[in-house]
Amino acid sequence: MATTTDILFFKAGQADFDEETSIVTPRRGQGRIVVTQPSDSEELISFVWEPRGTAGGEKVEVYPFAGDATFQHVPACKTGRVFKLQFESSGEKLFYWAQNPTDSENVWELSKEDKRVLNTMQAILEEQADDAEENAEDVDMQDAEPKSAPAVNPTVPDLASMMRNIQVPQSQSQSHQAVPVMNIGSVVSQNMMAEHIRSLDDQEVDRLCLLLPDVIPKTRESLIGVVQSPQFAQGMNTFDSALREGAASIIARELGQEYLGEGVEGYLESARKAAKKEEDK
Amino acid sequence: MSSIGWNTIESDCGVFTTLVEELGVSGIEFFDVLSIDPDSLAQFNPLYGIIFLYKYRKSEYAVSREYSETEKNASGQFFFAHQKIQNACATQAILSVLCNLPEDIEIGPILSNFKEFSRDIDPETRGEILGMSDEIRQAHNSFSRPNPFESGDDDRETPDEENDGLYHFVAYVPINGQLWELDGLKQYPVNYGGCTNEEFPEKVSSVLMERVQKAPGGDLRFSVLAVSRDRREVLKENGGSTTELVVEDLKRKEWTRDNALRRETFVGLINELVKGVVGGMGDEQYKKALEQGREKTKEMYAKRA
Repeated sequence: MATTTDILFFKAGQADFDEETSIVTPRRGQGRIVVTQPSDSEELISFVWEPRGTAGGEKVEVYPFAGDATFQHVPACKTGRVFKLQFESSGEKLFYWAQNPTDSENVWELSKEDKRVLNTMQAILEEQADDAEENAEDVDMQDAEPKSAPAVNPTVPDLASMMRNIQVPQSQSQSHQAVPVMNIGSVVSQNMMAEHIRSLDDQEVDRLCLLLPDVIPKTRESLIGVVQSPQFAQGMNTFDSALREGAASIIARELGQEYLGEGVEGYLESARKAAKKEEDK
Repeated sequence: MSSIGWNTIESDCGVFTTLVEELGVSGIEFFDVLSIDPDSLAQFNPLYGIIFLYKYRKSEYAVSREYSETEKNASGQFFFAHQKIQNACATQAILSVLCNLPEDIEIGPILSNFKEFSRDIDPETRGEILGMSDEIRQAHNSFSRPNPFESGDDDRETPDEENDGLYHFVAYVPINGQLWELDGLKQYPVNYGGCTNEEFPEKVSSVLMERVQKAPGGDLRFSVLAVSRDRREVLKENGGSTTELVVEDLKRKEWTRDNALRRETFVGLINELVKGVVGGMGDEQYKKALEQGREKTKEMYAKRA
């Protein structure tokens, strides 16, 4: 029986690249890449993308080999960490967006883990792995890059998952590039939630109190206290990071709401639509 | 399998006290230390140990240190374990204090067994055994919020993914007449010389002061917790006033509440409130709110740049 050796495993979603607009659009859902090498073959490696958890999507298996395939970071994407697997012979290009968490303040920067992935893949494909950031040129995107653009635009946001319209910097659009909402709290703050609770009638407050842990008193004031607590703020942060790491469709499904896109904005759309629907009833 | 599922927990006296109580320890309480001068530390009488939390820097550990023979032999004399699991470091520091308390202080069956079991083994194996203890891990994890949307089948975790270890916990304890620093990332315990229990507040104060002053770039990101006796018991013994006891009760109630909130993901509540707020907005108002949210993103990045 043939056995295989695991070489690499990392969390990433698929992404589509539009040649004409130079825009990378992430596909929804969480996924993983598994790179293995069958023990009976030294050259052949299997590179598989598969959906993670309950996310949809077809498993895709390709067989990159040295001299034909290259694996690179796409540094022109400033709204997330995007990798490109390109095949010389067929011209096929596959794009993936990293879904492992990053601590970097500038979220387009590769994390230690991303660099490990990049270096390992490049080593497999006998690429120079010296300076991934420098070397990973962006053949496809160069044309679109303005000659005098600053090397890094610090106001461009993170948000791997808000990459619905990842803008590879276009000459004119650079200055007023779309910036996505990163935190639920910057649209719906804890104070706004507290105000909202104050405006509700007793019955509606009771309904919300059912969502509190057992030991918490079920009153309007106590509910407001919870919403203003640091622990609730941490809960919101956890929610935000889940959205940023590509969980929007899972979240929508678990909440019984329609999926309307990735990231915080996608979620807000979905919550707003659900609210409007309830109103109509 | 030793490293599965240790979450990070908050450095907070309510969390630590309740954690050790869930491990079957009674009569021990953790206190925030607001000032590290000898007099302030002496107020926590008896002061069993100090837990020092600070910004972890790899470079500090890259410098190799000469250990004395006493230090090399110390881990045979008392409890010292190497840190094998990143997220367990808070619990590890707590155990470094509790497992080295004077024999007459009761630490309950779970920790007594753990201490007894690990008596004759080396620090590295002790660290591994700690990692494998289901009882300790479960108690530790009960103070963290589960990740609500982590897909359940993710059995192939990427190594080191969350192990950036930004903060680290170290314990200072008086053991057998000596002051010891127990840092699970160091090879051996570090000896700070002779120190009776009575001298401990003063001596540990000067160790902490020096340590804080030496912090690179005057970085003051640290916090200190004192391990002492349950304040309620002390008050009862010394005839504390009713008001003092009521204050302690209120503090405990607050801990119960905070700990319950720490375990919550709040997903359902957040969603209902978001629906309530954005659902009540008109189209224009909603658009404006989104724009404001995007502005905040810009501000955040401008600040970081």
